Amino acid sequence: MTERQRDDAFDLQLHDFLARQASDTAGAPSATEVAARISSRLGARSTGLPFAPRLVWVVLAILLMAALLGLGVVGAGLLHDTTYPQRLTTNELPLAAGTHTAGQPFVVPVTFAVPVGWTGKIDGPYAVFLRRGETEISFARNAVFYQNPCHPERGLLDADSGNGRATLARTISAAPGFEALYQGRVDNHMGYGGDGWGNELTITAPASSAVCPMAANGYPIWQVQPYGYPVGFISSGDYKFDPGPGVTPSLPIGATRELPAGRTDHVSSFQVEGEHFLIDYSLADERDAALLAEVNGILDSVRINVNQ
Amino acid sequence: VTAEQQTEVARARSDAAISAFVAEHYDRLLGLARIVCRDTADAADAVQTGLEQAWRKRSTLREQALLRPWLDRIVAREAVRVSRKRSSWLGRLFSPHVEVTWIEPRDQRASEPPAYVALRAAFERLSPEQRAVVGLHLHLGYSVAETAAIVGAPEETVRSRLRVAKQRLRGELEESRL
Repeated sequence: MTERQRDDAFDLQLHDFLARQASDTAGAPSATEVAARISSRLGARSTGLPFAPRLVWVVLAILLMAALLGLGVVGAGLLHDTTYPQRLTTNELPLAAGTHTAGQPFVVPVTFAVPVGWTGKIDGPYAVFLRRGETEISFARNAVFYQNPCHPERGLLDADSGNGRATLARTISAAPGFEALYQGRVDNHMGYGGDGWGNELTITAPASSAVCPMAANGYPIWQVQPYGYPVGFISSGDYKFDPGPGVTPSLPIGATRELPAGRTDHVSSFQVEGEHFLIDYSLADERDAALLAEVNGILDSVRINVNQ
Repeated sequence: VTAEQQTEVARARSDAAISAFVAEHYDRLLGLARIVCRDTADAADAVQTGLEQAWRKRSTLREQALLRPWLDRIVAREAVRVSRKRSSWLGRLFSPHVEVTWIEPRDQRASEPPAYVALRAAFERLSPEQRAVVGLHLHLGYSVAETAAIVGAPEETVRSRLRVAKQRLRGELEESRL
């Protein structure tokens, strides 16, 4: 075979290979599905925001006033019981009104106060979940966002911060039906004792799973990672936090924040002594000012004791 | 006819036009993006994003005859962007802070001929830009000059990318036969 013939044979083989690669698209959405998604996205965008951008400040001011008014109401409830902080457990239990802590074995000790009606638990050494009905608050250390909540199998982004949040918002917005908005940088928003600053963004999940497949409990938003701490493994197949030699691993790791369809997650992320810390909440009803005031009351009570 | 009904009619027309637009170009664009991304889900994302961008900007296209290369350019660039970002994320995931164990799914293509497996492995090692020019030139049949215009690179760069890509692919293929 001459060199020219070998070239031709290789070109033929390459063409055949590329044709097979191009047609290896099993599992891709159909053209009809993609058209429907594009129509849906264009329709949603064309209606625009329900208010002009300059009105955002007016809305924020109203919300702030509502929060301050609510603080008075909620604060009275919180002051009933400010005895020694009670520790959360890995079982979700009703919390007495008053101050609680996720410290020990939670890696970053956090204290916070809740009024009557909330339940709470720690999930591994890095996450705390509080709930009242469908309203949720969580605290997490080393929370890492999913690349695409519609495709959690694609893995996680890195635990970046700062200007990366704007990029993160754009990345999550690329998931079909998701809308993520970077709200801006805030200083010491939560009044914690550590150094640093925070960023805020909102993530709104699609109203239905038609455009984005949803897991049983919602769309996965972030997962905590066991940076720097050993991980045990037990026979049931679950990974557990390893407290050290001779002690049975008991705390789960890999806690995941899942956002129900149509719900908005308000995320604040902070650098605490060089560590990544995140607080987020979602309201059962975004228009419920009293509920927002109650949540803000809890958030304002948060203290992160970095040196403890 | 009420204003609401008029809006509904306009919306239905718009949806039908989008459907026709997507249906006409989807398979070709998905194939191109699949070549660049090497991942079907990423390819589908790139195509959806590209088609949406194109639909928004379609009024800027003056000559209808240029629609196809214009779309191929948008999707090829989006596929390169997605592919580069993906490899960057993987790099970060493998940072020293994290120990990740990857569990590979069972490879359904285990029965493929060795030459094809070798080509696929070599193709995955090409850069997204190299895969884009290979896909545009060798799969979609654009000339070197047209490919250069689509990817926004000088013709010599495109020739160089093609030459290097073919050399690597051929080298791997010949090694697999030894």
